[in-house]
Amino acid sequence: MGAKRIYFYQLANTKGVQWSLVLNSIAKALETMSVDQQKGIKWCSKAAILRHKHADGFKGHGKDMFIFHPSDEPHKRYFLLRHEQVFLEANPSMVAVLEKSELYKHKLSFTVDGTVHSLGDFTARVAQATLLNGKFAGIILEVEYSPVDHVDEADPLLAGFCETLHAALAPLDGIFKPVKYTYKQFGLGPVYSGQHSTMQYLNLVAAVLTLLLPNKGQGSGA
Amino acid sequence: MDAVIECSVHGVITEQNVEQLHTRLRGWREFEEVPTTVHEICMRSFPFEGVPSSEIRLLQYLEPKPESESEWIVQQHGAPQRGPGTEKLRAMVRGITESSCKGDAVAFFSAMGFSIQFSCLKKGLVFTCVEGGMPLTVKVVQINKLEDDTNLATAVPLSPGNWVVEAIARATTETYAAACARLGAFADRPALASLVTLTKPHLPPGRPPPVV
Repeated sequence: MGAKRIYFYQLANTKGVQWSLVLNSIAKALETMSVDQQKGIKWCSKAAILRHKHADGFKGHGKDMFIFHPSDEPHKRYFLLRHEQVFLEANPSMVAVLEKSELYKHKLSFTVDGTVHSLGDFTARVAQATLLNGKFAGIILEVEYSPVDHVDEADPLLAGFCETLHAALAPLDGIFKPVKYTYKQFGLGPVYSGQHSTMQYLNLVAAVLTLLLPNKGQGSGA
Repeated sequence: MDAVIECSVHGVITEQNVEQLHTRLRGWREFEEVPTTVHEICMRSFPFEGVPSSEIRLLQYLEPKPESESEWIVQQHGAPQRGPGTEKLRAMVRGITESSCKGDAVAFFSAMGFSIQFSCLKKGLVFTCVEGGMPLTVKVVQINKLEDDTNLATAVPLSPGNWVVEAIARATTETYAAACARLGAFADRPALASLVTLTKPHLPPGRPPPVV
């Protein structure tokens, strides 16, 4: 796995914006830049937040669980106990095992659904993000640079890619804002892994919730 | 997804008879034999407000060696089946939900509210037979308790001189009755019955077997 970075597309003026057209423009720009024979290859990653049934979790621990189901690793699920910063990488059947414990209830579902494009050493995935009830949550860009798996080395290259894409989108004046994450904070090493993706998606969901629910200060629980 | 049902019988065998049991199992050529060393940890969650405590087993295989380090199997067993007709079944029947994972499984489940009840090291041989599409697994192991749950060097035999024999068949809700019958027939083989009595376990697996 190369290093990846997730970006959230932000427009200065969102009044009357037709997001499906914005998504289309970005996908078209990527198609033009790519070498793919086949266009419009789909991808879909999912995430969920579970909350402990006991208000304080277990003695104040284990309140929030984040589950990430990446498109490019369909046989894996990544689990993250948010406040304790403990990861677990497991088979999909782990969800069934956790359900049997009856400790958690489902709080939120988050889906990113879009197209993937190969551009040499870069792979770009653009998608619309939605919550369980179908509520639109934004446009996401995930860029992967395959030759480098060291997070800090890849970051400037990934940012450079975004600038190229930004130029290709010229009439659109949005920016690709990188999802903030400090891998060291969660005890992760500098070599990129599914756990780094999990962390980025957790921060993405938290950022999206803050934007969608600005009055509910407690909602995102970041 | 179809529910997985585990049918099992247990028995205790004295150490002096273990080698003979191995020889007999090897004599039945349908069995394949593999050494096994498993670190098993039983964890229980804290009950609260209408949510009962639940138990899970974490298993880490040291033999056969897994592909990657820190790989754990996590098992959740349902309650043993009870009620009319169950007495006629030759084996204990219960649902099992299982998954595998990588990472610090103990830390993860501890953070969720599970605490370690006991842990043990099971060492011996596993004989597997796949006959007519219904796998039968026979484990002949010595159970060692761990003074320190995470330090395998502190393993001491739980019941010195005694080994545990466990025969397991996994089935579906449609086939478990046949699986129980098969386990019963296996337990009744004279060459086996003369060395060990396999019956429905009266105690959960892993707990001290009765000293014979």
